[in-house]
Amino acid sequence: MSAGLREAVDSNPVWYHTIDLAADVTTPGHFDLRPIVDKLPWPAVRGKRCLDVGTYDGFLAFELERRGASEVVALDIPDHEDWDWPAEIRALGPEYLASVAGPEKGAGFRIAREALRSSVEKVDMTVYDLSRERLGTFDVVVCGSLLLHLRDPLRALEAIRSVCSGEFMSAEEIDLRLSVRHPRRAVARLDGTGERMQWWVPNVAAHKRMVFAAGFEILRSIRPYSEAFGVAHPAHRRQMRTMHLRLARTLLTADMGVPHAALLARPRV
Amino acid sequence: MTAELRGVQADVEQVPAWYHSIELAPGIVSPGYFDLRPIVGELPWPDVRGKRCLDVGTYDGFYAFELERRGAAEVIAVDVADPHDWDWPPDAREEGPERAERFTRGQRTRGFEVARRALGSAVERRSMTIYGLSPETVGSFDVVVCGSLLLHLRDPLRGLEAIRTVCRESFLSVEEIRLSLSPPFGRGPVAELDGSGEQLQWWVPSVSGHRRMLLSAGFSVGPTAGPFAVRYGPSHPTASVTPSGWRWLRTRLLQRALAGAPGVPHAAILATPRA
Repeated sequence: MSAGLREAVDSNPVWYHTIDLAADVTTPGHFDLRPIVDKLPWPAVRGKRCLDVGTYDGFLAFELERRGASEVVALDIPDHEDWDWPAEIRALGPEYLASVAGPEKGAGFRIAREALRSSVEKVDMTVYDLSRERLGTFDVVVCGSLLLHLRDPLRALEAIRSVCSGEFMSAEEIDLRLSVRHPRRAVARLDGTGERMQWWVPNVAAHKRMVFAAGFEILRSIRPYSEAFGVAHPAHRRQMRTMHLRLARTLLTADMGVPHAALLARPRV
Repeated sequence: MTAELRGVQADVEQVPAWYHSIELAPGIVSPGYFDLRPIVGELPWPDVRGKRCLDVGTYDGFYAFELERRGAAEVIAVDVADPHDWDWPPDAREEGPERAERFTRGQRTRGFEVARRALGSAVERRSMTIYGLSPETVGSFDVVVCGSLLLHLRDPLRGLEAIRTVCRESFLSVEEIRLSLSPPFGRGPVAELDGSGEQLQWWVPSVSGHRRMLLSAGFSVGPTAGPFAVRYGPSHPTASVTPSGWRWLRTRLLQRALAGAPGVPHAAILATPRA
């Protein structure tokens, strides 16, 4: 059993999430959410209809199921042509985009779903297209580390609100330096160039403001934490070179990794 | 005052709300919210003589008429006539457009029409959002100007990408910037998010955030100007507000020190589309 599963895991060239698929089989992901998953501000999900937006290998979707959700839908876009590429990168043509995007994105999810005997339903759709007409409403929606890859994160959050009838948990990368410098002002750093496809990285206040502006009220939030690099991430063993950043990270998140903030919200409009 | 000037003056007074202060005839200036006249000469203008030009978000047409005055062969001015088509946040979507319509008493384009007639201008105005700009809808332009618009867009990058598709040579971008996020206080490409619907403001960038937006949308950045203050005109509410408080003083001091005058801090960039 494990041997077959290990083979399947090895067959997927890129794992995004680190997921325990069996007692002795763990996917070699770029990111490892296992150490922080219990710290997230989860709503009650038992018996609820749940949606995971931007699921990738499905870590949060499987976690919703594990926590007793009655139904879980997991959303992602398989076609990298639909991603929000900066104009200049898109202009380099479909072949270039394919080479940057790398291998097909749905394989890891399929392997994990089968190994976990999960009944999570995968839907191919961009967050922008979420609507009641297409998917109905959900008691609980979760979305992790997605907004920074969107040119218009406010539009995405509004689309999420349109299908959220209960609670929404948002866990997003934040800019630590901007969070320290502007504890109360909503400030975001703009990238918007290059192949990493990163647009707005908010500070803690801007993350809250985005969610609020999209028509939610914030119920609670947790202090910034670090999303750990998994074994597949090139930075897994790299030390931070800039000392004050390392210090800030240590102070705020007590760990290495990508600084995140998480909050729980519900629609107010 | 001649009969003709009296006619212009009467027309000016018929407009419920002027946005731009524009000199429409000798001695007759529309009482706008904002007065761009003191800074228009400081902007890094490209040569517009004989060129086909576009003004995006024209409102009463200040930049469009300035393009014409500088010798443009043809000027198209676009703006969104119906406030329902603006980027309102969800909690202001009903009430916001009504408030905007009350403000102009449903005559949003009246100022432009009065100004156009008074100036004997040939600028052509079309109703269109910045997002709708494309070679198919408006053709292409040698010079594009856009002023104080991006902060009202939920997706300013999409707006700039649309401009990029219709811009052949030069793009003059004049936008509000946050002094407190710009040098000497900060250097990064950042923006402050409002999103409240109160004044329909979304992202207000730092000086380098403004630059980054243009780079991201496919422009190279050329000559820049600012920060400078876009002064309040006589009809702006702050013109009649009695100043008080530490916050007011701090804001005014910052504006004086960094932008040279009280008003809304702006920066200007002359950009060119990257190949």
